[in-house]
Formats: sequence, C-alpha cells, structure tokens
Amino acid sequence: MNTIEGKVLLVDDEEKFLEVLSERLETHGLKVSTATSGEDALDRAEDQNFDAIIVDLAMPGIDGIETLRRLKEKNGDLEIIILTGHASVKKGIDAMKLGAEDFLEKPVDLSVLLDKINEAKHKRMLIMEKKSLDKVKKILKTKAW
Amino acid sequence: MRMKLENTLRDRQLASVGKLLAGYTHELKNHLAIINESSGLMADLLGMTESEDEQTRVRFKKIINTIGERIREANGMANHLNSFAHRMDTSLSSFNVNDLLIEELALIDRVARLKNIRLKVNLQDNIPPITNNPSLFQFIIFMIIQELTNSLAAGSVIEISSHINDQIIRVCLSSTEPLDTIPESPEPDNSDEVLQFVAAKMNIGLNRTPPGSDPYQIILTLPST
Repeated sequence: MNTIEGKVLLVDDEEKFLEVLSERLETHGLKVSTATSGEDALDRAEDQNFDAIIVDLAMPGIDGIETLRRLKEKNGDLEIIILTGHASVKKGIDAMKLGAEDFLEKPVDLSVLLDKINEAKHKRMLIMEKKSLDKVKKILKTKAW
Repeated sequence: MRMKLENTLRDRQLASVGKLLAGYTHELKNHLAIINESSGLMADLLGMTESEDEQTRVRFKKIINTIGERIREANGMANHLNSFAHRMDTSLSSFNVNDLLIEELALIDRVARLKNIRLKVNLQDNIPPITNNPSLFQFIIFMIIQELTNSLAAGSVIEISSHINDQIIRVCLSSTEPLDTIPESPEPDNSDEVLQFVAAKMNIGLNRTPPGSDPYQIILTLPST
C-alpha cells in the first residue's frame, strides 16, 4: 500500500464523506483534519499549516470557489485541490484562475488523489525552501559579516 | 403577447426541470463517492489484515471489485444525466453534435433495449461545433428515435451516424431491418408536424426517404458555424 506523510485539510459539507475519506487517507499515512464548511476551513487554515487543502465545490454558505478565493487571499502559498460532484469546464477554469492546484471529480480514484496531494506537498516544500533561502540571502546582505 | 408568454413559461419550465435534475444528479454522485470510499476503505483494511483464510479474502476482493465496477457505471450514467440536465440551461450555445448524441443515446439505450432494438452509433471524428439550441437538438433526436422504435419490430437496428461535407453536418438515423415494419405513412399522431416545427425553429433541415425505402432514413442537416 502506498503511504505518504503529510497534513491535509478536507472540506466538505457531507460529514459521512469526510469520515470515510479521512479514514482512508489516514490508512495511507496522512494526518487529516476536516471542516464541514468554507467558514470552518478558513478558521482552520489560519491556525494550522497544511500540505494540501481539498475543497468541495458545492457547499452551503460560502461555496468552494469562494472558499478557494478567500484561502488564497489569506495565504497565496496554500495548495488547494478542488473536488466536485460534477466537473464543468467553466467551474474548472474559474478554479484554476483562482490558483487551484487541481480539479478532481467525485467519486475520485484514491491513487490519483494521493498523487495530487504528494505533488502539492512537494510544491509547497519547494516554495518554503525558496522563501527560507531568500530570507537568508536578505539577512546576509543586510548584515556586514 | 400570449404566445410570447407561453414560450417564456415553457423555457422557464424546462430550465427548472434541468436545474432540479442537475442538483439531483450532483447529490447522487455524492452518495456514489461515499460508497466508493467505503468500499475502498474495506479494500485497504483487507490488505492490512493478516488472514490465513485466503478463500474468504479472494471472495471479499471480488465483491469489492464488483462494487467498484458498478460505481463506475452508475457514475457514468449520472454524468450523462447531469450534462443532459445542463443542456436546458440556455436556449443558444455552442456544442458538438457528437457529444450531445453520445450523451442522449446513453440515456435512450435502455428504452430501446426494452423493445429489443439495438442502437448502432457511427460518428465521424472532427465534427466542428455548431451554435444552436442544445436541448431542442436532443429533443428532435428523441422524437425520431421514439418514432422509429414505435414502428420497428423487435430485433431491428437503428443506426445513428454523423458526417460533415462542405461545412454541412448531417445526422442520419436509419433502419434497414426489418423493412416491412416501417410504416407506410407517418405516425397517425402529429409527431411529424412537431418534428418539422422544431426543425424550422432550429433553422435546420429535416428530410425523410420515402416509406418502404431501403434504408429508411431521417436526415438532419445542420450548417456548421
């Protein structure tokens, strides 16, 4: 069985779906947090760091696209994967324009989702490394050592 | 004025049916997703459990595979139904006739199968998109197939094909067997009148070969955009 380490946030208003998908992801080595609304997801993303956030498109309250927009507004480095019941081309384009990492359709093939989470995690690590490097360079420039 | 209101009412009624269907299929896919993950979880746990009873393990795997296959089939059907529902969102859009035929035939196939009539599909690749009313296009195809399935005997085949020549797309619905079941005259109801009305509204051609001809064909002619 494929296992990957990482921390993900699952956002979906369907609690049973959250329950089974998080259990599956956990059996593959991931640490999973869940949120049942876009508002809840925004709060959680503020408190914790996630390698990937998986957001359902159709939710009561703020929908997946709006949740994506607000998450990206708060932290542009977040890696967000949209998971939807029906992947229309228009919604897909909207999500990608707002910076979604990927756009997957339910029911999803778990190996595909795990690959996307892995890709998101590596991309995020590279961004973090680059940021750290830039920070070190900046310090080196400003200090007269 | 009254006619305009009636048309608006009809359009809105169709749009509401589409919206309800689209929402419903979306929910259906959520249920399928839960079944999919539950069955996947069973497979994961089975893979992690040590058991000497290999026979039971094999049986469980077979059951899990069957669930997976059925989820894929049901998901495909839900996708077709969802796309079909969204065709009613607008009365004018750009679409590919092949996409609409595939989607609709997936939904009609069962109706034909119950009458023991086979739908044979032969679509030409690279058909360019057209701009027209997508739900009316699917309605006219439905009417023609319904007319043919009502007229043909069990065991018949209806071939649905698309071709393009000189920027003109032709969608042809034909049947060659058994010929003697083709009606000598159009249906006793006003279905031909309705078909001609819809074709005129869509600004497309609709022609039939004479009754009893071999093959018996109904051809739609659509200019590409």
